[in-house]
Amino acid sequence: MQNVGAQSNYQIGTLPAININKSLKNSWRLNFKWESRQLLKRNRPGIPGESGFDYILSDFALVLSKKVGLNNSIAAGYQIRLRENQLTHRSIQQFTIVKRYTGFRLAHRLASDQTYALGESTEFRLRYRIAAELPLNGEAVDPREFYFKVNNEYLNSFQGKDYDLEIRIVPVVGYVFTDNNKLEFGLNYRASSFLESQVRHSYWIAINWFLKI
Amino acid sequence: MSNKFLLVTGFIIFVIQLSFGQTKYEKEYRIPLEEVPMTARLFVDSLNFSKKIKWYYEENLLGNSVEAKVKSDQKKYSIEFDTLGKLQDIEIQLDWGEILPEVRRNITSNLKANFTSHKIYKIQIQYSGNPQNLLSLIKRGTTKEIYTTRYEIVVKGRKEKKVNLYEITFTDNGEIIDIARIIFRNTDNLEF
Repeated sequence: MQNVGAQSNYQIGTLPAININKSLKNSWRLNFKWESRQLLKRNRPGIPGESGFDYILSDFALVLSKKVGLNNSIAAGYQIRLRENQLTHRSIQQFTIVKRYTGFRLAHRLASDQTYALGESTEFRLRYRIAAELPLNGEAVDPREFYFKVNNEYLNSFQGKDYDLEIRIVPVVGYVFTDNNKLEFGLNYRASSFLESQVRHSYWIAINWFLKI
Repeated sequence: MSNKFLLVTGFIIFVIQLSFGQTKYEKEYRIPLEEVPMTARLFVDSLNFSKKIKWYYEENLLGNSVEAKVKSDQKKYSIEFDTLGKLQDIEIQLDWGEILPEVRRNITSNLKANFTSHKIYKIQIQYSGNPQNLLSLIKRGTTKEIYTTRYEIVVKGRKEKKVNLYEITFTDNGEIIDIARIIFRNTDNLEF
């Protein structure tokens, strides 16, 4: 299916992720994340529209975190992105606060990362994410119950002399098998390229599996 | 079907099985009024709250219970019954200043003896005893009948360089009966 000359700029795809966490001694934790992208439909201004199932990339990240207060953690890690046999490296630093209220939990994440790719100048990003989790039954998310989670993230990107902003809104419905085994399903919407002539909209079907071993 | 697909599917089924196999869990959920034991309903009705009462069913390791939650006169009430409707206790959220000065002094000195530093997050006064005695206590604010008073205080406490949240139960004059560390629910899905 081709749609020549369409002006809208968007992509639609799937974004499955597996998140495996391991508690270590003295409030240390290790997080491994695998996330992959598959494109189903894409439209770019001036380029024929494309559709069909197209595997794009896989990310593998390992993050070590340490609890530094009742509600706060600091973390640092490294991610490798595999895209058409090309490797991209990324270092990650983050600080999180998780607040518990009657009836919901609220998390703030302040993070920075640096992306290194061959032949490109390093991309520096500064990002802030707020996430709210609400039980769909009772005042807390218990095992065998559903919850609703929404997060909103702002990513500032600096690369060479370029600056760009990306905004993400991710509403998902989650199910708790046990406190250490959760599955989430929803939308990962991203608006980027704000400083170019046309904003790019990305709609990813998100499937997140969180496991603690 | 490829071997890889079978392997991944098998692994997923294995993990889901593993998590369903665990039977120890705590759970709390809203229940409609029709499912509330009649004696519990009648007791809460007789307290004449003007606000809507939310009913919950709680499943935990110590046994199941039915709980009524309501906010009245800027105070949060939590009234707990067993599954047959027998009253267990009444808890009312308090401010620190509402506790008698000598009880406050005892609570503070006991907290100082247990923690290098502490901060109080939440205070509840807990009444238990004969339902009729408690009914007159809540309705009139005082009673000559016998009942038991305890304080349940949630404290952020530091000891041995570790900060944790604790639920501490005190007697009516501020002596510690029980200290339980509050274990937080997993936050991985909010952090990563």
